[in-house]
Amino acid sequence: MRRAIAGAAPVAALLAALMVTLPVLACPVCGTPKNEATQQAFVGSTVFLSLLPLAMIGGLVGAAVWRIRRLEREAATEAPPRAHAPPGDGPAPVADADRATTR
Amino acid sequence: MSDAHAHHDEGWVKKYLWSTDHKIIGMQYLFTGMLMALLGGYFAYAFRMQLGFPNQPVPGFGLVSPNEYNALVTNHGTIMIFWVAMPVLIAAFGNFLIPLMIGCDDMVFPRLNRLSYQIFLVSALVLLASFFVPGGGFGGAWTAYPPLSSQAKFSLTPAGSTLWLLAVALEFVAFLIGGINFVTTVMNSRAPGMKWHDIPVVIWMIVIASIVFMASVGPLVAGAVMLLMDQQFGTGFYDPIRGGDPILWQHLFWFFGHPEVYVVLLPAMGIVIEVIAVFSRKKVFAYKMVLYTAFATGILSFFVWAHHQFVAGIDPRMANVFTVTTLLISVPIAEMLFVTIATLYGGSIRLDTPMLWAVAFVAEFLLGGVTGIYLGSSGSDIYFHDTYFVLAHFHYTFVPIAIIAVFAGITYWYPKMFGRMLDERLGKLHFWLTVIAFNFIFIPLFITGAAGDHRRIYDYTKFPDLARPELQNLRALATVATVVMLSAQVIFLYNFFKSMRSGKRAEANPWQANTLEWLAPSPPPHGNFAELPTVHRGPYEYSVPGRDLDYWPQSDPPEDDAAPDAAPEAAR
Amino acid sequence: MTTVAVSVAPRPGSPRRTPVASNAVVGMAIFIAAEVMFFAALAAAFTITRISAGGTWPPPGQPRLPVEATAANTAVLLASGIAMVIAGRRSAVHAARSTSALGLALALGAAFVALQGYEWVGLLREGLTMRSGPHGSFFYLIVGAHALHAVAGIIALAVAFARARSGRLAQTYLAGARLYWCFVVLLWPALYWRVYL
Ligand code: HEM
Ligand SMILES: [Cu+2]
Repeated sequence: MRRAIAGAAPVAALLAALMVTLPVLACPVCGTPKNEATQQAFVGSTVFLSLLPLAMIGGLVGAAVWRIRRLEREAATEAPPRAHAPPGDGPAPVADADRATTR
Repeated sequence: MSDAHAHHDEGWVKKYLWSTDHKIIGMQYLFTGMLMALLGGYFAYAFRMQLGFPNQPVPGFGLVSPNEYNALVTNHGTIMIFWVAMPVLIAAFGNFLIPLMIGCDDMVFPRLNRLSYQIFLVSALVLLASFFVPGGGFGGAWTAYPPLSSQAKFSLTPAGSTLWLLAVALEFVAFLIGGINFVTTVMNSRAPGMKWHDIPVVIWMIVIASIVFMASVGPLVAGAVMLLMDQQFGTGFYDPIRGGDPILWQHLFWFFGHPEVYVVLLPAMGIVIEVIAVFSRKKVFAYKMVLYTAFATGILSFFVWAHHQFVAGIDPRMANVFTVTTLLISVPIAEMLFVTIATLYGGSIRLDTPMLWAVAFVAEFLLGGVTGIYLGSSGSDIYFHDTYFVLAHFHYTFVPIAIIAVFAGITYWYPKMFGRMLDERLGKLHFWLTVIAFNFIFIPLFITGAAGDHRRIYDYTKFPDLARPELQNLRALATVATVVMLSAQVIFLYNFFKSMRSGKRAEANPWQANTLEWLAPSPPPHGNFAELPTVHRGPYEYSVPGRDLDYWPQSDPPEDDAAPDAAPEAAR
Repeated sequence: MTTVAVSVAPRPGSPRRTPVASNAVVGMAIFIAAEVMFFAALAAAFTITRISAGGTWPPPGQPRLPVEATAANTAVLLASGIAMVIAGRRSAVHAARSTSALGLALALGAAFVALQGYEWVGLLREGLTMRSGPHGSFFYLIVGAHALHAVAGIIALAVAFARARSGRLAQTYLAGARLYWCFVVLLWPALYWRVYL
């Protein structure tokens, strides 16, 4: 976790540094400059809309993982002996016969 | 007809048109997608002829008028992305493969699944209808920027543009329903024993793509509702004179539009990885890494979209940031390509048709991805924007995705889908013709684009700078190659339908692959498996040392239970 | 592999794995996430337009929105949400016991939509229409989109209510409907804050 933060920090710093650009009228990217408030509204809603799906996906996945862990813990405490044996779906001999034909 | 089917307890309509069986629905998507691909191809033929041989009647179409040209280009793009790539890669393969590969008998919401296809079908019909209303089909490009799209006095297609928009919106609803189904099914219906890391890559990719799609489509639907109101109810959301802002649409469109390219890329990548593992008889190189890379791509894909607007007058600060994120996202993409190459390395490669397609995907997509980097740097994009260079870039990504990878998938799963084998000789002929012609279309267009060809011009003879013969010859070359590539598809169609009746019968597992779909009979009956499988290992245990077979199906019980004299399990 | 004629009597829902959450809840949660993005985009578009207009909002000469009356109406909707949560709790004990709470949630939800409609009539009289500029367009678009969702939710509640009365209410249906209704209820204060204040 700490390593991830350390890795992300320079990237974040770079992105922040790039935000100090000024509009240049001669440059086609800048076009006709809008007023600063509008520009900031666009930047703000860009940040908001980009982060929202990540927050929601993160939340839902996090909730799912949390519940899976809990279900697994419960399963482990309720029935310790069978916890790892997958329930035999069908009689084993049939499966063997099938394998023999495929070979 | 009906007599032959009399012994079925369900009627033909119920079985094939009103079915809730995931395989039938997958086939419905596949066939609808193929039909739409033919239409999209026909459109490309018509407008390419106009560009290659300007102002001459096109055989099979007639003279292309400027308005028709616009409608053809617009709907070619729309159809190929929304009615071919999406339905085939996600809906057809997703529906067909998910229950089979995770070992269950159907989707968790079978009736919603049927509804999803029906809405999709309606959306296709609405789109088709839009070509026949007064004014003709919409011609404001697949990106539908206002004001061209929002006001009839600019678009000249009062009804066509609204029907177009409606069709796209309906199509999104269909895929939203489908996506919910996919994700829920994979979460809740996996075979016992199938842990997260036992899920085949292609299923992961379809799931991640569905999630990215569902998380990004909302803003576009919102934008589309606003555009629809501008068109029909006289609002001014995108009209600067009345306090609106046309750039707003670009944001809402590309917020979805860029993630969308990864929505189609990921399943294609999944298919290719699947095929490459089977035909190199090797474990997928770094399976977990592939997964995490796909997650990273999914996340990053929300942070790059404004690279489509570098020249639209967006905030230069934002342009800078999006340059960096765009360059960043090429890292995971490159990594996935390296993984496929590393999987190939040292494998015992079999060059059957599916494998040819898969390898071609890697080679061709590379070129598309690399040219994206030129466009992603806002400085060079000022020059390249809206030239044929951009067009060639995205065709070098989309064609590998929606055509090459799809053919890899179809040729690979065809035995499972229809219970017969495709003809290998025809398959290889089709492969070489298609791939070679493809390069002859778009390499010339890279050159004309770099020479300054703007991509939305109807007739270059009107532009002396661009009407030079060396450029016009390249355009003609691209057109001829288009015709060759389209004609080559006849071979495929012949092979596809002929093999369905008279191909060699396929066994359950003709490619000796591990994943669960190969356990079911070919084609799988309603309910898929005679006995629902249990999973004992990951999907890519090929050439495991100490085993006499070079593959090891996921559902085979561990060796030591079944055959006590087998070699000790070295690989686990 | 032998191609045995497979008996496809629907394998009765023997749980093949313990699901993390029921299919209905997982499906609904994903759907809601997509819907949140839809509304977020509308709100973002509105914010941008509003800020670009500069100066005061609503623009001069345009009718003011009924802030206070809608605040009261917001309370009605929140109460409906609480009733729905209670219905969920009760039905965990016994499905039939959720009937009265469901009925309450339904009535309050319907009252919310009716009051909103009443307000719209007033605003239309004052001359605020879809075409009278961004103020009206966005107001009717955002509030109308929420109203449509509320109506869908009310229909789902009505179905749940009818089923609960006749004792046929499935837990999964209720769980899905409850999740959806909570979304409609909790979304509203956010929209109210954006659009009215
Ligand atoms: C996943 C595969 C990809 C697909 C399917 C794809 C598709 C597209 C499409 C359809 C367009 C044109 C949109 C239009 O204006 O009509 C486009 C443009 C663009 N692509 Fe890609 N792309 C892919 C990968 C990449 C990568 C990896 C990068 C950067 C590293 C990239 C950077 C760009 C940029 C910057 C543009 C805008 C160029 C312009 O309009 O001036 N793309 N791409
Ligand atoms: Cu992009």
